[in-house]
Amino acid sequence: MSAMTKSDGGKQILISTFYLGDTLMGIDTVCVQEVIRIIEMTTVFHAPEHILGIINLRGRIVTIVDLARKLDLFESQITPDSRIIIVQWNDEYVGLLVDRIHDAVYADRNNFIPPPPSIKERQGHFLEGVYNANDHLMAIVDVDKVLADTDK
Amino acid sequence: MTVMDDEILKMYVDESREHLANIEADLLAIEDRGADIDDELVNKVFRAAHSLKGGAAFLNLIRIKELAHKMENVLDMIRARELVPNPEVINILLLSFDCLREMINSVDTSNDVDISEFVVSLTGLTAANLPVAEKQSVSNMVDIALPDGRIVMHISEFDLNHAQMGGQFIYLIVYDLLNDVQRLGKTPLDILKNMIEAGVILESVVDMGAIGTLDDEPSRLFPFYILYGTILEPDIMPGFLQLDGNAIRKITVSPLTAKPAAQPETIVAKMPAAREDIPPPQPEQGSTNVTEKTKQERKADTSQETSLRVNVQLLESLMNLAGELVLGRNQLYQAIAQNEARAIKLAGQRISIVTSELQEAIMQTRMQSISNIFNKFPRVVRDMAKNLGKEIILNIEGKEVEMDKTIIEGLSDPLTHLIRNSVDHGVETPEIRIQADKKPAGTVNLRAYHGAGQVNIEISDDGKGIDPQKIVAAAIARGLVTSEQARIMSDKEKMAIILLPGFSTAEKITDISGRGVGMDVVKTNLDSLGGQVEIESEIGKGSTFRIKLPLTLAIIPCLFVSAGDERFAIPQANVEELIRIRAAQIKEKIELVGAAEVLILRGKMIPILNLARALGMPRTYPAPPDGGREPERRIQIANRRSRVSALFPEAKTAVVDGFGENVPSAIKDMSNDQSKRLTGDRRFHAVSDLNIVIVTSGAFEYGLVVEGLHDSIEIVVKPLGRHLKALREYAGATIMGDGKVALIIDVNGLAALSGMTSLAGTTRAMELADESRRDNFQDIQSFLLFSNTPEEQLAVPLDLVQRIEQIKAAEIEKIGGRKVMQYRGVSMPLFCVNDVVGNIHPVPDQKDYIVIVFSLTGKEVGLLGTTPLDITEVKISLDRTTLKQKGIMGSTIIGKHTTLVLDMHELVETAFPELFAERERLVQGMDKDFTILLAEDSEFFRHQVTKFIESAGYKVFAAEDGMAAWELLQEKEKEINLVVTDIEMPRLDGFGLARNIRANRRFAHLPIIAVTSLAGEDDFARGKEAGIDDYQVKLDREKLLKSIITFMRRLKDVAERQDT
Repeated sequence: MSAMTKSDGGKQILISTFYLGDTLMGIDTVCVQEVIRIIEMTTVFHAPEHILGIINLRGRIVTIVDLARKLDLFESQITPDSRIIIVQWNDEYVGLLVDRIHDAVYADRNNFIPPPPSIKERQGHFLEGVYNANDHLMAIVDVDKVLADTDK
Repeated sequence: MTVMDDEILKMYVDESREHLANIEADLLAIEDRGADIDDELVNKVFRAAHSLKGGAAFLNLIRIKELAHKMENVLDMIRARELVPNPEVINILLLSFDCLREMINSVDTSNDVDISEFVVSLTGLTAANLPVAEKQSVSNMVDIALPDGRIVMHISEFDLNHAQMGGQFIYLIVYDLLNDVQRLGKTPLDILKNMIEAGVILESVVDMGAIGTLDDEPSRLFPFYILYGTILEPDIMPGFLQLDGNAIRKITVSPLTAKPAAQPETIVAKMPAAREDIPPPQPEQGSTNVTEKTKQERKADTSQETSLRVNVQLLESLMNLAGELVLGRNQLYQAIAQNEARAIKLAGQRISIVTSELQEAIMQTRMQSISNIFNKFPRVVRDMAKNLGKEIILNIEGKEVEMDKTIIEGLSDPLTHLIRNSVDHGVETPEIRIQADKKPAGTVNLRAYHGAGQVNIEISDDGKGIDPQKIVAAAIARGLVTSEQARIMSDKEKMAIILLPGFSTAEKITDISGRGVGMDVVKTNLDSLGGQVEIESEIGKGSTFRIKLPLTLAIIPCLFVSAGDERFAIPQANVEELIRIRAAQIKEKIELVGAAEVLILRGKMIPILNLARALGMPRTYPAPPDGGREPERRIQIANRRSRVSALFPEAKTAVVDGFGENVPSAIKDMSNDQSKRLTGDRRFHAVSDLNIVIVTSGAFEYGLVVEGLHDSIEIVVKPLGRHLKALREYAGATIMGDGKVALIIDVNGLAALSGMTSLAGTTRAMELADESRRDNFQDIQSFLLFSNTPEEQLAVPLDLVQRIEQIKAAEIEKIGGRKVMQYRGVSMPLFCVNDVVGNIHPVPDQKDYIVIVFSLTGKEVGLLGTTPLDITEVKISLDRTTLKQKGIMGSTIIGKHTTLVLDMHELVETAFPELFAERERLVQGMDKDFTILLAEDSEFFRHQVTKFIESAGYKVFAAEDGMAAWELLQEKEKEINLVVTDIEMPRLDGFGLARNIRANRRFAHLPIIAVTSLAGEDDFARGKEAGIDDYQVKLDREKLLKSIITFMRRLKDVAERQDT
């Protein structure tokens, strides 16, 4: 069973927000397990480019995805602010590397607007929508789509 | 059913499974014995059916009850020797048991199963074997009624009559489930079991009709009626059953209140086979239908079994260990609180021990005997053989081998397929077998055994074998491999093609074993279990499928290696051996075949793969240089080499081959020289020693070049996330002691990814193998090293040495200017090397000496020395010029020292010319106009023997192996009079050469003398067979010469006789 059980439409959902570069983004907090600091990673050679490696999270092997790269933005640099958002997805944990953790905000799914057409098709595909929180535009990432996409 | 506890049902199902577990084997054993009934065995099966029936009746599983009952009847007849258990009968029983098993497995729906087919067959069996008078009784039903007239059950007259035979009493017993059963803490099954011990349960029923309303008397709420046949007398019944006498009623059949059942017609209609005119059951038809069904069911079977029986003792030990663990934890806490390093360490050790014991014990709970799956194969083989018209004997070995439950479960399908494959495609029909001069009955062997921390399973047959050429042809036709690829494949690899997806299923779709899974599925299944398949086959002789499996999947021993900055684990099961190639030897050991590097290991070609490169890791050492960077590298290699040489002194011979005294500079020069060649040849660029892990991936081995070798540790395998599942090069990951994650290498996947195939078979590979074999043969010689003075190291060929004696100076006598000593009752002449050879330090005067005893020309002589140093086997390369003088063959480097190799013959001949008088006599008067062909691959010996024969005045043509000798012989046919040959030679050995000579009319007359280092009886016989006339030990030149002269003389005599 997918843990991405989305909060009921129309109701307020809690969005965890973070930055990829200067872009504010968010994911539904329902699927977030925890946020950790960067720990030592084991590189998996021959893995897709957006897979940074694997880590040991309390005895589980967790795959770390470079979210920025997956979204065709840029290749992440690891800085002291970098964090890994551990999300639960299909019975396994996956880590998403982000540049900076920001805030958690409530949002109404009904107020999501479709990604503007200027966004590349590929990125648009991975976005659930764009949300305007206090005059800040925030791209809501569809974790299921991002993780289920195994090409590249 | 509503009132029955689920738990009882579950218990019944579990027990029934146990009863059914070995039924097949027992039935097959009964079939084998035929009319010679083993009561014990039949009883066992009977009891199984009976127990099933008893419980089923109680649980209202009517179909199971009915079927079990019918089977019971048949078994009873077998037991009473009224029915011979022929294959027909057993077949029906087997199928019925299959059906029972299905019903037990899905017990909830068992009442909906249509069992009429079996009932008909079984009833047919019983009826067909009954006297006509009794036949009707099978279908006649009798009602059993209570005194109040209420009918509680029906039973066939036949059963009732049968039960009464042999003086049995029949009782109708009523238990109250509440008062008599539940309150005593028993279950109805317990009661039934108890009763089965002493008799037969004809029928049992829970009388639902008697269950009254709430207003009724509460005493008899759940009457449970059992119709019971036993030999127990009425008076002991209450005691036996722990029941009140009122609850037991004896029933007599003749004045039975029974009348023919009310609706016999309906029953008869259901069981038409009871009639005489019904043809006997047709097992062939039945079997095909039913086996199909069972196959599907069986799969469900394994998945359903979720509970596990654990030995109580094991459970106890688990409890103990858990206690120990708690104790250990407490100790640890205490120690930490007190901050005592020693105590912490102790507690840590304790916990470590307990943990590993706990791990082992828990693993054991998962262990199951492989008999669980092996037991079904006699049946599988029997059924298939029957369908295919073959005779097959199945031998099973190693049923007791235990493996992890998951592996056992996963193994069932692939093994079944392989067995079916052997029966279907392997073993031929009796007619064909007889034509092929084999026994009509084929054999399939199934064997499980432990080996090297793994479980090995072998399925072998003595059938027609697999033709690799046919497989390749088919594979090429299907486009699975190109003919180019096929050309370089070894037979083993060709055989492995049948495991490729798209091969087997395509070909065998119409065959029995092609149904269900194909061979590629076998491979996939086994891969997922961490197993490997190997196929061996000889056309006409049979095939063997060998499967290697880990004992358990969760924890496996792995070898840790490093490449780049990463550590990787390689399952120990894949590791064949570890090889370190010293930098100095890389050139010799690693060759380029096409674009691939291969390692030459003991004459075998093993492709190698650099792990870091295969995984696309950034290199950690400089890329191969172009000319510009050479100087720097050269120094590096030289440095490395000298360091290595210090570590591995034996490497010296390789490094300084052929150099004289000036050792240090020689090493340097040589190293530089080699490095130049290394880079020049672009052969191999690594600058250091190579660590190679030889891994096996089923069909072939390859070498994995890694940077570092670490420990072998038992690791817990963790699966990789979904994003990485597609990577075939990894089998998973594990967490190391430091918390870091290491990837586990999948040896098969990595090989496939690198497009690797073994290279045996390519022409170039053959050449290389040849060369390396030649290398192996070359000049490996054992020497005894000793010294006269500490500065000088001398060597004599060990073959010539008889004994080494330690003597006191006083034992040496000097007589007539000669040294002698008493040795085994005669005086043996002694000499020192310096007596003959100038420029050699004389043996200093001391208290103890060694005497090396030689036997030459049948006499023993002793060589005096001071200290024996070593016996060593080296590949020598003699420098014949630098230190050459009489009595010295030359010099070489052994163990860092320049060593003089003594020529014993020359020495002795010079020291004691009188010993050779006899030879002189022989040689004199001989015609010197003889030519000898010498075949000898060792340069050392070739040189020695040539020189020696020439010194006797004959002409010698020397060839470096049998093939060269054979060519030379064709060329110089006219000149050659005799052949002297070594036995072990590359390309063509001595036996081969002798056979060639004998087979050719032009040469058949030539005498052949074989020289060998060691001749055993076997060799001798083989030599005679090949046409060798005489055997001489290498280096015993006197005897060899005598032999040559003897043959020459004979030839001369023949020639003279022809002349006259």
